[in-house]
Amino acid sequence: MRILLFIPLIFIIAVSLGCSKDSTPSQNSPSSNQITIATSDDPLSLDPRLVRDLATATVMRMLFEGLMRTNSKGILEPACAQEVAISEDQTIFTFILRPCMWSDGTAVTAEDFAETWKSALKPDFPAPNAYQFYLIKGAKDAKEGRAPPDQIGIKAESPNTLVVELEQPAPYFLELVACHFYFPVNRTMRLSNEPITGNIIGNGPFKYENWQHRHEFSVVKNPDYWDAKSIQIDKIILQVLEEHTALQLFKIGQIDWTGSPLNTLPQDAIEILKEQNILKVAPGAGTHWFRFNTERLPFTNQKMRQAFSLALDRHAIVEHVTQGNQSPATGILPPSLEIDNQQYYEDHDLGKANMLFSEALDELGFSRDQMTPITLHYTANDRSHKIAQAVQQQWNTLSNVPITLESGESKVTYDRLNRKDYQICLGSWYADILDPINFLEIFKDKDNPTNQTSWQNETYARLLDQSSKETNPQKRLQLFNAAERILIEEMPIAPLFYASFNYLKKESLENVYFSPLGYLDFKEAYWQPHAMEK
Amino acid sequence: MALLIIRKLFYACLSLVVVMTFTFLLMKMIPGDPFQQEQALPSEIHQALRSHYGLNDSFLKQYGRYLKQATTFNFGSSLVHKGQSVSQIIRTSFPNSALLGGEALALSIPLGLLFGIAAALKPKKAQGSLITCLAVLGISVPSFILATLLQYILGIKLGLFPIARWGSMMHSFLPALSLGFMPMAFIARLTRTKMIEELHQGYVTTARAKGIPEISIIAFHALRNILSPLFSFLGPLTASILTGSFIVEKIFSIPGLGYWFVSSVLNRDYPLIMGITVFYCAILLLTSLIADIACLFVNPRLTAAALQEREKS
Amino acid sequence: MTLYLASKNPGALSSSKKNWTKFKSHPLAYASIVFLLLLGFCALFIPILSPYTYYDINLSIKNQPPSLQHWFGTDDLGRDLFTRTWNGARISLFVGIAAAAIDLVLGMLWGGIAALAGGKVDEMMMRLADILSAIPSLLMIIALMVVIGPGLHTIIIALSLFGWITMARVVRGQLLQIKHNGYVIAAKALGASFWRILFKHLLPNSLGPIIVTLTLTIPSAIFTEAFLSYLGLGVQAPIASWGTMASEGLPAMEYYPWRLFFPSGLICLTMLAFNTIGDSLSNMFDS
Repeated sequence: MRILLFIPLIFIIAVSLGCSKDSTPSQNSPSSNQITIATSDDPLSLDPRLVRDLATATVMRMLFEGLMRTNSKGILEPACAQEVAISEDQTIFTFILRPCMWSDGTAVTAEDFAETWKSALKPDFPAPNAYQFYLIKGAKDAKEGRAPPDQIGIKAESPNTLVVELEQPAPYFLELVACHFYFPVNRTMRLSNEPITGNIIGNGPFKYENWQHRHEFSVVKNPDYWDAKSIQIDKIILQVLEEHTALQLFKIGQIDWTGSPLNTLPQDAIEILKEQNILKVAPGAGTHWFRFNTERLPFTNQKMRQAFSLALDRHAIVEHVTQGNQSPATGILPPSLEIDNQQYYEDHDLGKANMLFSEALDELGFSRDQMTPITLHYTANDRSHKIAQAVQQQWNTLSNVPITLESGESKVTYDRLNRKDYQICLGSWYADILDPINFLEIFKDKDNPTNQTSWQNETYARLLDQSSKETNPQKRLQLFNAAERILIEEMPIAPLFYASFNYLKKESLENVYFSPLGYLDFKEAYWQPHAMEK
Repeated sequence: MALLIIRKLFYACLSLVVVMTFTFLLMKMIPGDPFQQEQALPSEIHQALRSHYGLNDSFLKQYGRYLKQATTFNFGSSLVHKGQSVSQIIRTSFPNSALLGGEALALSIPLGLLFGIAAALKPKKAQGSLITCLAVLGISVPSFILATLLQYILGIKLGLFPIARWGSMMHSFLPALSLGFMPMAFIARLTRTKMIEELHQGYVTTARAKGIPEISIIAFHALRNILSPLFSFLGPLTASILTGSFIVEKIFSIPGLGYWFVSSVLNRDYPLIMGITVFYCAILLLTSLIADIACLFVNPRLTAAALQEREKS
Repeated sequence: MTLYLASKNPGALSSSKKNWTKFKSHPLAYASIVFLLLLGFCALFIPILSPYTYYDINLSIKNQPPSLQHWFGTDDLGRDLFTRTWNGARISLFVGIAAAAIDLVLGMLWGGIAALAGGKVDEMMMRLADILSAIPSLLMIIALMVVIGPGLHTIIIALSLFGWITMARVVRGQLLQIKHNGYVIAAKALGASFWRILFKHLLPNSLGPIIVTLTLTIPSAIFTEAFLSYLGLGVQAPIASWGTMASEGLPAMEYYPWRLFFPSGLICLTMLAFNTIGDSLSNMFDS
C-alpha cells in the first residue's frame, strides 16, 4: 500500500536531517581553560535591570561589572570604580571611575551608571528591582511619578565621577552597589526599544559569544576588560541540563560543575555523594522557616507558636532529610552574616514544647479534642515533600495534634500567602545583601509583601529604625541582636535550618567564588594544571 | 470534495477561537501572575509591572488583544524569559520536537503494524503471545521510566548512545525510542486485534481459495480495513508527539516545545501560553483534518457514504 | 449483559455457556482473575493487618533494602514499603478503574453517536473533542484544583475530562468502518432505532479496539495522577499511589532500586492481568 511506503521514506528523511545537524559535544579538559557548567534554564534576560533570579545573576556577573565587587576572599573592593569617598554623615558617596571599556570599544562613563540607574527608576520601566534604589534621595518619588528624574540624588559630575546622595545613612549601601541591579547598561542598549537579546555590549570579565536557546549559552574572555590579565579562563559554557542527566555527565567528566547555584543536585543522590566525598558545600545567606499566620487560630497565641517551634527536631531533618550539611536554625540570621549566633532555645525540647502547648490551649480556651486539623501548606518539590512529611510526624508529638499536609503548585501557594489564607506555610528567605537588616526588615511592617504573617511589633520596628541611623557597627549589631530576640520570643516564624548550597565541581578547578548570596564569580578562577583528574 | 475541505477549514478556525477563549478564561481564573514569587515585590512595583505588560487592563481589552495577535501570530515577548519573543521560542523549539516526534512516529507506526500483523498471524503460539506481552509492558511502563532505564542502560552503563542533549542522529535515537514505544505498543495491539477479526472474514477465505499470496491479502485487503480506527487515533497522537513530550525532553535535556508547554502554565507566562495553545491547536486541527481525509481515501466505502450524506444534507 | 452477546452473525446468539467454557479453558485468563482477586485482597487487608503503617516515619532506617523485617525494604523516610505499596494499590486501582470506567462510558457514547449519526452531527462532535484536546490540560487541571480543592475526587474528574477523547476517537473510527456492513443496513431497513443499532450491533462488534484502548487508559491514568501529585495537584502526602512511588523511586534507581521495582513491577503485572482478561473477553464475543 502506497501509504505504508511513505513511512520508511519519512524515516529516511528524518535520519538525513538528523545527520546534517551533527555537532560535536564541547571538549573540555584542564588544558583548554574552559569551564562547562550545568544550568537548569536559559538566562531569563540579558538586561541587568530586569534580572531577578539567582542563576541569571551569575550570568550578569560574567557580562557586566559594577562599581564594586566582592572578590574571591569575600571582601568588597572597588571594581569599575577606582576609589570611593564617603562623607562624614555617610550619606554622600563619590565614586571615581577607573578607565574601563565597553566591549564595543567605547569608554564606560559615570553617565552610563547614572543614566542606567535613572532609567530603572522611570515610572514606566518594568524594573522589578527598582525598590533596591529607594535608599537614594528622590528615587522612590521619581519611580512613583511624584518627582522628576533630575531630583534623584545621582549625578555624573564628570565622565569619571559619580556622586550619589542617600536619604539617610546606610552602611550597607556599598554592598548594594555590588549587586547586579546596580550594573551599568551601555548607551546603545539603553536607547534601543528592542528587547536585549544576543550580541550584547558589556563591560565585564567575559563577553557574550553564542546562545542556542535552552541548549547552550557561552561567553569568552573579554580582552578589553580593564583587568583582563587576571582572567585565566578563556571560555565558559552553560548547558541546559536536567539535574540527573547533569550528575551523570559530571561523573563521566563532560561537565565541570553541577548543582547550585545554576542547577540542583538530585535529593536522593546527596547522601551517596557525601559518602563518596565529592559533595561540596558552600554556606548560604538564607534561612528556611515556617511562617505562622498570627491572625488565624490557633496561631494567634504566642505560646502555641513557640510550642510548634520547640517541637521540631531540626537535627533529624538536617541529617536525614535535607542531608546537605545545612545547620539547624533556632534564630533567623544565618551564620554567613558573620554575627554571633545566639542559641535562643533548645532544638527539639519536647518537654517545654508540650508544656507551652497545654498553656496555649488554656489561654485560647479550648481543649485538644476541640481542635480542628491544622494545615501545613508548602510548594510542591522533592525536598519540601519530605520535610513536610517528617515535620508532620514531629508535630504529632504535641498530644497528637492533627496536621494535614497540603502541597500546592508554586503560584497557587504564593497567592495563598499573599492573601494570608493559611495556617502554617513552609518558606525561606535568601538575602540580597550580606547585612542583617535584609532579614529583619521583612517583619518590620505587617504589610510588607514578604512578611505575610500579619505580625509586627513597635519595639522591633523602632530598633530597626535606630539601626538605620546608627553609624557605629558595634552598636548597630547590638540593636540587631535585640531585635532578633524580640522576633524569636514572639515567633511569627519558626526557623528550620540555614541554607547551604550543594554542588559538585572538578577538583582542579580553583578559586571560583561562591557568594553566600548565591552567585558565582569566575574572574579569579583557574585550572590547577598539575592535579590529575581521575 | 473541495467543498468538504473548505467546510472543515471553517470549522477549524471556529474551533481555534473557542479554544483561545477558553484558554484565556482559564488563565485569568487561576491565581498567580508571572511576577509573583516567594520573595515578593513591593506592591507598587508589582502593580507597575502588571500595568506595563497590560495585565491590569480590562478583560475585554486583553482578550481582544490576544485575538488580534493571533491573526498575525505575534504575541510579543515572553514575560518570564524576557528578550525572547513567543514566535522565536516556538520557531526554535518546535523543529527539535518535530524531528524527535517524527522519528518516534517513523519508528512506532511501521514497527507497530509489523508486530501487530505478526502477532495476528500466530496468535496462540509463542510469537503472538510474546509480542502481546511486550506490547502490554510497553503500555504499562510510562515513557519517563522507560526513558530513564534506556538512558541508564544504553547510555550510561553501555555507552552506546549519548546520554543527553541534542545535535546528531545518535542523540535522537534513545529519546525517539522512549517516546515511540508506547504508541508502537498500542498500534501493535490494535492491529493485532483488528487483524485477527479481519482474517476470519469471508473475503479472506475466498482470496486464499483463489490462491492469492498471504502477503497480498494482508497488505492490500485486510490492512485497509483496520486503518480507519488507526487513523482516528493517529491524528491527535501525531499532534501531541510533534509538539513534544515534556518528560522525555526533560530527561534527555532536549530543547523542544514540550518544556515550554508546561513551564509557561506554571510560570503564568500568559503571552506564551496563548501562543503555544494557538500553535498546538492549529497543528491538532491540521493533523485531524489530514487523518479524516486519509480515512476517506483509504476506505472508498466511506468516501461514497460521505458524499452521499453531503448530498442528502 | 445480553445486549453484548451479539456477534458477527446477528440472529445466531451464541450460547453463553459455550463461551464461558472457552474462557475458562484459557489458563492465563484464569490465572489473571485469580491474580486480580489476590491483588484486591491484599490491597484491602494488608494495610490493616500490617504491623507498620504507611505513614510512620523512622529516619534512622531509611533506604534499607528488602529484609525480613521489611519485605519490600524502606523508603527515604524510613517507612515500610510493603505496607505503603498495598496502600498505594488502593489508590491506583481505584483511580485506574474509575477513570477507565468513565472513559469507557463517555467515549463509547460520544464516539458511537458521532459515527452513527454522521454528517453535521459527527463533524460537530469531533470538533468539540478536538477543542477539548487543544486547551492546555495543565491549565484546566490547575483551575479545577483551585475551584474544587485537592483530593482524589478532583484527580478523577481531571483525568476523566481528557481521557475519554482517545476512546471516542477509536470507537468512532471503528464504527465508521463497520456501519456500512450488511447487517447494519439490514437492521436499518427493518426499522431498528438509532439506539438499538448502536447498542446491539455496532458497539458489541467494536469490543476489540475498545478493550485495547481501555488497557491503555488505566496505566495512563495511574501515571498522570503521579505527574499531577508531583506538581502538587494530586493526592496529598503521605498518601502515595503506585505511580507516585514509582516516580519517587526513579531518581534513586541507581542506589535503591527496590523503591522503583516493586511499584512499577506491580503496575506491569496488573496490566498484564487486565489485558489477558480483556483479550479473552474479546475472544469470547468474536466467534
